[in-house]
Amino acid sequence: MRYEFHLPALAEGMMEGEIVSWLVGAGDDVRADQPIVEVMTDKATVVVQSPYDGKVLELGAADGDIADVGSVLWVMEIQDGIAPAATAPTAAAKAPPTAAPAAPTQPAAAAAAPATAEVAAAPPAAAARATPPAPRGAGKALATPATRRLARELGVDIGSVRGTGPAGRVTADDLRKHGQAVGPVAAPAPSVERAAPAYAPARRAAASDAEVEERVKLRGLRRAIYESMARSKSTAAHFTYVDEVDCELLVAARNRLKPAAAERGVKLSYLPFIAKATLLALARFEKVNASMDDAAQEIVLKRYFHLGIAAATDSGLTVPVIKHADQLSLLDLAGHIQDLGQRARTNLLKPAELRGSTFTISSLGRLGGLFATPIINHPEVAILGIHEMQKRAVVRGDDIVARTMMNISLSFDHRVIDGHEGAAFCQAIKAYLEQPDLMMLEMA
Amino acid sequence: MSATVRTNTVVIGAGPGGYPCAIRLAQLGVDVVVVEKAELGGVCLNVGCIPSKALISASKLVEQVQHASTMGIHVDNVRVDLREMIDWKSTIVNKLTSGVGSLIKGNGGRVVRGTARFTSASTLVVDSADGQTTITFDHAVIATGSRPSAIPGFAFDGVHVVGSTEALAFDTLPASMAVIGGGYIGMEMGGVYQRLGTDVTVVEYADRILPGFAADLVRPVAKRFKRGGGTVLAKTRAVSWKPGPGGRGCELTVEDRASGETRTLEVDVILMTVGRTPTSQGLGLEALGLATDARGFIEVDGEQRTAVANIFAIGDVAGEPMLAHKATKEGEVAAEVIAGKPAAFDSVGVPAVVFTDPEIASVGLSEQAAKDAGHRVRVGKFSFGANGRALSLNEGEGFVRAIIDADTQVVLGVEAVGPEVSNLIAEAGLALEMGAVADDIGLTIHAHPTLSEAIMEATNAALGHAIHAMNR
Repeated sequence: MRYEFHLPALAEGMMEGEIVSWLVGAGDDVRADQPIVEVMTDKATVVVQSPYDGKVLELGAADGDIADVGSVLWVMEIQDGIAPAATAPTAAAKAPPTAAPAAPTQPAAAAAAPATAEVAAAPPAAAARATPPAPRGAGKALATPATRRLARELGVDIGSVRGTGPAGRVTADDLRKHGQAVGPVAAPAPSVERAAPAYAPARRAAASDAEVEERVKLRGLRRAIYESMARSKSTAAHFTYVDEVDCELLVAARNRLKPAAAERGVKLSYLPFIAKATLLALARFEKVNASMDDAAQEIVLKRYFHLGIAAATDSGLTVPVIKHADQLSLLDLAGHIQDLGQRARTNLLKPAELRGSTFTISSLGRLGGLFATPIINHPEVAILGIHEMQKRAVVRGDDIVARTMMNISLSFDHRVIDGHEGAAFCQAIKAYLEQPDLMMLEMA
Repeated sequence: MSATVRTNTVVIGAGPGGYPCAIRLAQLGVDVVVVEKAELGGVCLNVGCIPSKALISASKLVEQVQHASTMGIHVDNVRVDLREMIDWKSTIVNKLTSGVGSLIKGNGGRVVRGTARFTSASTLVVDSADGQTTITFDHAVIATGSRPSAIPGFAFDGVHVVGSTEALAFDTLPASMAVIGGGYIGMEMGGVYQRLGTDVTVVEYADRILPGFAADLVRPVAKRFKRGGGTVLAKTRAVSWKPGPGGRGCELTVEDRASGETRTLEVDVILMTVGRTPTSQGLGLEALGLATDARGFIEVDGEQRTAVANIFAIGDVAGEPMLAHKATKEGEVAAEVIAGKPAAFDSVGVPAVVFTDPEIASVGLSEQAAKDAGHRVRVGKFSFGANGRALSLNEGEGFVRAIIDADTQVVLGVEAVGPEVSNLIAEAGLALEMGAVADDIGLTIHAHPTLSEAIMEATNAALGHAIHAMNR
């Protein structure tokens, strides 16, 4: 029997998902639980598995498409009677997510992470077609002849366009929107130009800049980052405050505690100290541990502390979240940071571990640079960027001395947090880091 | 005479593929030369679609007059002068073919008479009685069409064994005729002569006539053909023939494929309609390095382009279905591609129409093809017996069948047999191209009383709510 797999809500409140990549093709035989397609929700990439053994007949969306929850994701032929007819299946989805949208710093002096998105169009060779014509008998997208012609004129592969018309008919509007989203594959070149007699010497491609450009489709995590960053920058009124931290005592404290932590199986870095200092500061500045509800025109004071730690992965930036981080000891914080970082890099985080942060710390590690203007992780109202720790010449008394210094950059949403409040919050963190003993006073 | 002509595009063949292609090229400002070895208009206008339809209409009128007594019309002494009928047909053909010449020239295209042969991918020579013309070109469109096929032992001799061309211009009405091949050409031409009074026997190798169409579509045609005095020998192989005594007529030996028994038919003439062969030989394709498939078709892509980038092929020579309207569409596509426009042959359906009595027409997927393609289908059927206009035409036989996707209601195909279905199928073709759902047709007002109501009712029947039928 014919069985339609409908896209389930893979996460609470999910309305749509983006097709990151198909792991099978039409005509493939698949087994139950075999991964079929990677779907990106607004938080994580989820691998959707086949609920049954069978043969995939058709795919309901193309890579990069946005599929509505409930829409037919794929159609397969399965044994009669093993599936209830015409009902949407429950989510057969396990979730080794690859990543989540992030709120990373915008480093002033840092290399951009290499994009791994797929290439949409290679530069056309001189004699190549601008748009490969559909093979005969194929290309039966549901669309009127005039719309099909428009698709060719726009250089859009109509088979990859999601139709919004009746029965999924592709409309002219769908094409135009699709065209805006991904850009034309390539402009159709006049055949009179390209179809030189077969024996003629191949002409070198006219070296116009456009011909050597490469267009990379915005999909998957990159798309999530694109949206998240644009949303933050278009809502929050960012201002950034930078100060330097004298880390002499912090280095000493960490060096003292490191062996003890190692005995407990934890590699103690500086980040847990910074996290602890930040959490203690947040407890004193409730407006910083907040979010802005633009629709309701209300500031939401969270009163709980879920700490996001931005991490770079091969797919892009992700923000694993330590829930109720304020209740964790330094050692536990260190353990969580270590664990989440590892699983982020190996794409083993669960969607729940990638959302709900109330404040975010972004560390670029050795690429930390001098300072940055971090972009706030929407809808939070502040973010901390930490930079490279290094020996610098500083003045102590009247002497120039070498000290281990580290800059911290804090961006705030000025709609919520005024300059002096942000500065005071930064000074609180600085004080905890310069005199780690102070943190003892706050410990429950 | 020897001349050299330089052009952007040369179109070989001025049939229903080539001449629209040339006109479209000229409209788009592309310099074009058309080479034609016979008459402008090709097989379709000269010895195919148009003249056969003229004779079909005339012969149907004869039959209607003969059977008009059911309507209270009594006509005695109906006399058919075949010569006059053929002459009338020829005036229609001449009117259309001269129109083609005017259209090509009026749009700025040139016509060169003769037989074309490629010498390279940028030159061809045209041989004619007047001499040789060399044409150099940037693009060429091969639109050479097809010619009737014959089976072994039955070479066309123009007298005893004839093809459709000769059958359109008999001097006298044959008293008897064997039609070898019960496909659409055989059934159309066999039907003409059966209605005019010839004793027609159709010899069909397959299990039944018109094997390309669903059995229930063909049944009314076979029934009426036999009722009119025609004979169908299905599952029968034509073995051999020899001239009759004194060279008059033919003795045709056929073999029953099931029993192996042979019998001999004595007929005035044998009409050979076993199919058509693409005209791809003698064109100099080897000079292009262009091969054909086993059947002689030139392979093309969705832009009608062959394996040689500047050479295009359209129409019968470019593959099935060998239908004039498919050739025309392909010609327009090739022309636009050559002119740099983003054209492609992307039609959802190519309608097929057969001018038998009654007519058969279809477009899109048959019920079986739709199932094979993975659709869950719903089918609605509406009989012309419940259509007022059909009954008032005294043509209540036949039906329309709509095939729709059960999940999306998208119309997948329409098949029909009955009065004027060759015209009715256009609505279904539009529905397919527009991606219509059944309700799009069902909710459209169809004028009453017309035959078109049958299409509306068939799609409504597929949805389970036809008005004038019990819905299954």
